[in-house]
Amino acid sequence: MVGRRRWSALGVVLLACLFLLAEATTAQAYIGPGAGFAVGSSLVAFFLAFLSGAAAIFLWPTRWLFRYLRGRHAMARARTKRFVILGLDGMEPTLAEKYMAEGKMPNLSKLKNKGTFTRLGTTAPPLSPVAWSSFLTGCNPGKHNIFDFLTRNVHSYLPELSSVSINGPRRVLKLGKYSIPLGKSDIRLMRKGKPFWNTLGEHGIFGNIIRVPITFPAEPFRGVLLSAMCVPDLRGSQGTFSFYSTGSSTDEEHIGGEQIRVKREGNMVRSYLVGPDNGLKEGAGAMQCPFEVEITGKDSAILTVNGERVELKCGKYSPWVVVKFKAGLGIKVDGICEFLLQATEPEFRLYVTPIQIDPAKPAMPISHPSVFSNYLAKNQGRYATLGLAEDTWGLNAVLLGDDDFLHQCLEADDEREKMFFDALDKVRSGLNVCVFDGMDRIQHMFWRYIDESHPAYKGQAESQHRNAIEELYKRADELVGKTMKTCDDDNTVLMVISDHGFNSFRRGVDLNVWLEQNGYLTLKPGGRNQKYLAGVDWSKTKVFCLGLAGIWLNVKGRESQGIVEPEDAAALRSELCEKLTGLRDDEKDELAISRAFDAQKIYAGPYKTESPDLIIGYNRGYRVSWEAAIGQPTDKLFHDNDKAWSGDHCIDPKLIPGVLYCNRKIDAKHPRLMDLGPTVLDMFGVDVPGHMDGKPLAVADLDGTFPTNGHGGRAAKQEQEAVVVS
Amino acid sequence: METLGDILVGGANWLWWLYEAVISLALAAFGVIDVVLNPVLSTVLRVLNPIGNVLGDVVYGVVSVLSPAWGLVIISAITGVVMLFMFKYTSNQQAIVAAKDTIKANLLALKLYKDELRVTFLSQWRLMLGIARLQWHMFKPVVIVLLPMLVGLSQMGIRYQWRALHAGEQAYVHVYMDEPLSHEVALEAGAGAEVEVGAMAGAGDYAWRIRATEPGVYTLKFLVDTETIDKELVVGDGLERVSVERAGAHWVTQLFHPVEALLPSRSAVSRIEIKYPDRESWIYGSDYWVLTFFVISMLVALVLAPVFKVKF
Repeated sequence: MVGRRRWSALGVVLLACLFLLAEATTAQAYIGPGAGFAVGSSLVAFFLAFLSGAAAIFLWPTRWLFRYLRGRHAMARARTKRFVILGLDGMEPTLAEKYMAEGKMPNLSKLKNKGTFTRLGTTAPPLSPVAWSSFLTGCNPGKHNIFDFLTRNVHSYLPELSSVSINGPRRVLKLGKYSIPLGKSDIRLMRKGKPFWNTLGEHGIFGNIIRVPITFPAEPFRGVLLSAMCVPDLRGSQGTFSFYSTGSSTDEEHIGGEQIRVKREGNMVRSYLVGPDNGLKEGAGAMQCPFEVEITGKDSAILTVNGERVELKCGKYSPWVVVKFKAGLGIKVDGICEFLLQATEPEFRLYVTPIQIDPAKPAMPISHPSVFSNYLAKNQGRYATLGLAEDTWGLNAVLLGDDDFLHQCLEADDEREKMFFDALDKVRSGLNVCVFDGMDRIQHMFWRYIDESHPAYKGQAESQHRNAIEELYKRADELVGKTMKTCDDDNTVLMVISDHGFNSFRRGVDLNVWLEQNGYLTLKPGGRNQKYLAGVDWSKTKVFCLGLAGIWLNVKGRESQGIVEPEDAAALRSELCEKLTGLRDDEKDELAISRAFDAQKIYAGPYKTESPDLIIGYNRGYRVSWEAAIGQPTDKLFHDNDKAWSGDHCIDPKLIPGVLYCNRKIDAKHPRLMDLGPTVLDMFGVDVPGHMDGKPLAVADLDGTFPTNGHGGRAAKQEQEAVVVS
Repeated sequence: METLGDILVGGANWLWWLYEAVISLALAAFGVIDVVLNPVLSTVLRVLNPIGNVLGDVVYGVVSVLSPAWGLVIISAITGVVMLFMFKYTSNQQAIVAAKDTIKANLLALKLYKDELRVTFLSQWRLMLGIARLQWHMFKPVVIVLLPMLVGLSQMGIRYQWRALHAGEQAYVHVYMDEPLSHEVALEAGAGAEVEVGAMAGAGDYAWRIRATEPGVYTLKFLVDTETIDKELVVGDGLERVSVERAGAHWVTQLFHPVEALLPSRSAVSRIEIKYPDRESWIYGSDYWVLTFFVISMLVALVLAPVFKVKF
């Protein structure tokens, strides 16, 4: 009764105020700018909604007819209305089996019993950018041009990002000290090949693609897409964190971040965030955004940046904060980052995540259409846009704690989950794909808790994080459970997949040392321990290692200082394969390299010459060493890996398959990641393009029977079984 | 063609009828609510109006060194800023941003998922909810800002809507009462004006024609039976404030005519009105001043909102 009376009173007041307005003349109707604009904008929104609604209703029959005519052949043969692919990056089949057997993953067990659970063949090398590129193009790496995270510059031998090339605008107008860009930045996707959702779109089938790696810059197609892995931060790097400290150590550079020394004056600490280079002013360097922190207590402070005040609590991340970098001439670049106050005394310590592209005002094309990232930001709040949003480097550098890192992973997955379920709600007919990265990142960093023989395992059995990976798998199972509920109809095929499995990374192999020991690589005097191959004597070096996947020949006419005659390259590759296959770690008495592959033999396609010349298949527990990956020759062939980054998957692809769950029966002995695109096309009744290497899998109908009319992939089954990664 | 014409005429008639019905209903409802509202608001305005008058005199005293147009521009700009801050600190800015985000998200959803008719309808529904939520969050600041804003506007109105009589100019003065013929009424013009014609008895009033003689603020004295009632008369060429009407205790009249004291509650006279001429100017003249004020204050608010980080 009291509640009702209160509402009645409120109603009378509301009515009174409305009448106050109604009674007033024009002079009195205006009651302030805020309310005026609000009423105005509401009216505009209402008008737009009405218009677009009316347009949608009136144009819908035309659009439907157009779609029908374009996709009628596919529609007639389609065996499903909706296809949902939930990607769990790095789900390890042996762990999945273990937890299912222990009853810890009831939903995935249900999926297995109802439909399919099998291992999913990955790519060589089994790296996410390579594997997901094969997934989305249905091709082997020789056709999509992605072989590793990094490639080498043939002129300078410096490492470069393999998937995207970012350069300033091609034309600029010089006005004194200003260079006015005449056009957009030149951002090119280096991945070749056409994603299978583009082919679906050509047949009128809509796709909602969320965070599938190697989709930056976003390509146009019939659907919406948010890019993922390889989306840079605002500085153009793959994620550069900042760490501000009053500690006595000098400014330090870390892999993936920088440490900045600050001075405390009373309760104030002042510094600046580093943004992208200022292309507008010549020689201006990187743009800066000043900030100040007022320490208000032992565990609290107030951050002021761009006039916004943000409360900071020790050990707690701030929400996403918008930061603006001023380039001049009124041009600003927006980014977002989170702040983590770690301590105020005795030393002030503040961690800042890499400054990421603001999805509400994206500085680069991170989505298709461009408003899609903004739609998501308005629908659920700002979210991480960086390709590798979870700061593994910060944890590796011990500037982030385990809890802080876990928070980043879980937050990114929560953001993803909202996007995914919104997509499932919106797209009831077509393709939904969403990839969750958290599983990959957490396994990379927490494997040391489950592998007692790992060098970084220091008796963590009692640690609160000893079950972090198990909890991760349970959370994934809950996610699958929720997804199954929304896909619980006869018209949806649901697949849960991973691009590769996971294993321990205990020992790193410095292949540059092996090459030196075997006479393939020569260092300049004093060249040892120099990064990025700066210490290599190119006039005497035939082979070098850079990146995670393999090693490169120094070929005359291809590399700028090449010495290997092109006609000798094949023999050299064979020789190296023979020598490296079966390489042993005598100290541990273990096999270090299971197999070495001649790239020219395992790949097919126009880009196979862009690949490292040899792909190294390490044994379980081994991987290329940290130093070899960045071209820094040391003096030891094998290194204990005592970093937090303790799990990995860059090994022999045969040893590290992914998983494939499906709510339908699948009849295939050795399904591969690259078969999934063709399978989706096939299920929608679209002919699989001839350039695809993947073959449609035989997916059963609801009643468990396999179609016999050629569609459903049965015809391709025999061929597919023969083309497993050898 | 005839049928189409009939349909259009019929439709227009129906709309007109609907409009009339809504207005009648609104007025009836207002009548009921007014009974409750008047005692409260009238009392509030008794306190607010003198304060508003003093502030108005101070502010217009300061800007009197400028031309009326510049004065209006500056006052409008300052009002825009003041209202911006009032809005910022009386509204739930986070909730407003959230409501606006909902609106934008659903507008974008209409564009992104236009082939899904279900999404179109759903987004429209959510959009309406977002608009309703936004209006709800506007309610509190609007209620708080409303009275000071109206008082401020009435102070502007008494300076820009009408102008004082020029020396030698004529004007009509009306005294309204329920039964005019049953009362004896006389006007003593005193200094500053002279009575030319009157008193003329009408259906509900007595009227006089007066002529202003010299600039200044004067008092017209009305003798109604045994009662003496004063009414202010302003003669001049500047931006003087004028009190068009003196009336009894009703909040609407008090709001529009804040200068003079209320008529005694038992007076035979319901109100006294001087027909001052409208002020003529495209910028600050009658009715145009509202437009100028609206445009300037909105523009200032729009430009400064990002600077002061106000969301609306």
